[in-house]
Amino acid sequence: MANHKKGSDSLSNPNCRDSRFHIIPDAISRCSREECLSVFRHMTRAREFENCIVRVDQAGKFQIKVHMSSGQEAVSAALATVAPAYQYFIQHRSMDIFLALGGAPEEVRDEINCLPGGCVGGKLGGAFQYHRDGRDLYAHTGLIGENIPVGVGAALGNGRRTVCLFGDGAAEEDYALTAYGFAATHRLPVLFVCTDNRLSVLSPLAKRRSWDLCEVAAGFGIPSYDMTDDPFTIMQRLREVEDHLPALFNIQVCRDYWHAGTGIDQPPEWNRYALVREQIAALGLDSELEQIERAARREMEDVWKDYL
Amino acid sequence: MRDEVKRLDEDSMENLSLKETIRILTRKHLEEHNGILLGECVSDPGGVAGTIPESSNVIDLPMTETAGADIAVGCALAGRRPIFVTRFQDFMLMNGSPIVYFAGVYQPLCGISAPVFVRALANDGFDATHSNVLHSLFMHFSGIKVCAPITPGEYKQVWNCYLAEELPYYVSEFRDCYNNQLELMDEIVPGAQLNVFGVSICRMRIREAKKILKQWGIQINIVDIMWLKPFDAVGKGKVLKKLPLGLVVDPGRSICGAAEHLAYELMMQYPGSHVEVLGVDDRIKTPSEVYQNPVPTAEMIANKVYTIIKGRIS
Repeated sequence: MANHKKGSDSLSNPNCRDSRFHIIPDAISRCSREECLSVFRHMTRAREFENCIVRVDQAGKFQIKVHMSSGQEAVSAALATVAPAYQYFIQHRSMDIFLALGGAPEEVRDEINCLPGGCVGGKLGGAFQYHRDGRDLYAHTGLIGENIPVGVGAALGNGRRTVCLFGDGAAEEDYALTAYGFAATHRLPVLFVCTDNRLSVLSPLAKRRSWDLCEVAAGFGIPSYDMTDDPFTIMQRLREVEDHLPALFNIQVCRDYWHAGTGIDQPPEWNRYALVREQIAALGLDSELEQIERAARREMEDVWKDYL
Repeated sequence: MRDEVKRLDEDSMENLSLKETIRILTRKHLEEHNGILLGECVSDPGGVAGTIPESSNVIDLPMTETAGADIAVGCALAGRRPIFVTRFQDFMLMNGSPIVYFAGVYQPLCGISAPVFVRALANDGFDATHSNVLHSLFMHFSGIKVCAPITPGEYKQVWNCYLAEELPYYVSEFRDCYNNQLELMDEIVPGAQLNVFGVSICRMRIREAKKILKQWGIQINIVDIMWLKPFDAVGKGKVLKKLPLGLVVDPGRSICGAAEHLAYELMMQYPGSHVEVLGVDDRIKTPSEVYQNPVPTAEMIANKVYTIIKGRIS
């Protein structure tokens, strides 16, 4: 089942930083119209929400640094579209998955402003949880990567399908490595999803480690896939593994903004949002896309109107 | 041997030792309430000093520190009320992070409880990394209850409290107490010259010390402390009203430790009282006689009591 092959890993393959790296070219053809629009809606809402944050931040109305998702929101859009009923264990960069699973944007706004209306009462300024309508999103408490073994423990405890969502730095935590092995040993229904932008804050992956995450997972007997953030490929792969968990996806992403805050050093290596839009528009859904964009912009500007 | 244990309910748990009590409570939790127990080597023959029953809900963790406690926290979020066992309390230094920074903060932060029952075993006379008592470290952090039961009745009390609450518990156990069948009560005697407050195994050693001190013509009061956090300084310190002189004896290091903290709390609640401490010295512990640095023995306690009283008289 594992399709990971030695030599195709992202560590040694310079092509991994290519928007087409290990994508399934016709994956979109296996998605329904509703799924395509769902993906685009999730991506657009997350992006419009963060566009408002940028405007507020640049007007000097923020006291804290926000961990932005723009540029990698296709991952959460794909997961929320095909696996909304999984239990999610996330970390700090999670506004996108919170919104995609049904969380109210007002609760994110208040949370990052440390206001009582926030999803955890504004207590942490960056913890996002959502437990409603069969959706379970567990917030993190601050220790990077701890959501990985905790999520594995929850899967052991209740047998539910579980997503542990983390970055390439968190993937290296000692307790994360043990968690992959424990999930493999007990055949727990966990999908490990690493959003890999090759940076831990500003420390490049190549300086931090010589090993490849997918090869480590394969060593534990976990099916692993290295790919870029094409949502339709992610959805296809998830469908393939959902009855054979645990599995690990190492997903190449490029964020638009700094590790924290709304600064930009250079343009992202690719623009997944534009690529997805182009793919869906080619299906003849251009007017639906425009409608989604207008609605999302209106919704988020309304959420942020007191700040803009 | 473990299978010889009868399936007893709590009403028929008379005359059992501490370890039998732990084993029976655990079996009931695992088999009747879908509980789960996790730890390293927990299914070894002998069941961690005879305290763990055979059950499919006993999960052997890989040899991991930190991740194991994280996995237990995840089980707690899933409603399994996990028992997390560390055979040596020293290992809680590494396993502590998930208990402190996830289980301890999740309820106040997110409103979701993660009640893990941490069984942290201690003993004396091993090496520098297998002989320490670390409950004082966990008293430092919020959101965790800390206790050191040494009798069957106390253990049942702790267990019932844990089931009734939504908090993580740090339960400091001492292996030398596992065969204990006796319940202990505070001993307040006329003519006592010092109040001695004991924690964990030291409570037994204080009682041995009392016999030595009696031969020396010295009487002491004995006050048992089982709940370390929250600590009822007002209730436990009542004896200081009449006799404002005390000694706290704890099996951990006294420097920045439980003994110093409890003594401070007692003195704050009873102004004018003077409470000293006795614990392990601020140096390493090894099996070597030279570096043993043991948990206070009866002789050490008796000598400390004598020194305090002598100092007050002179």
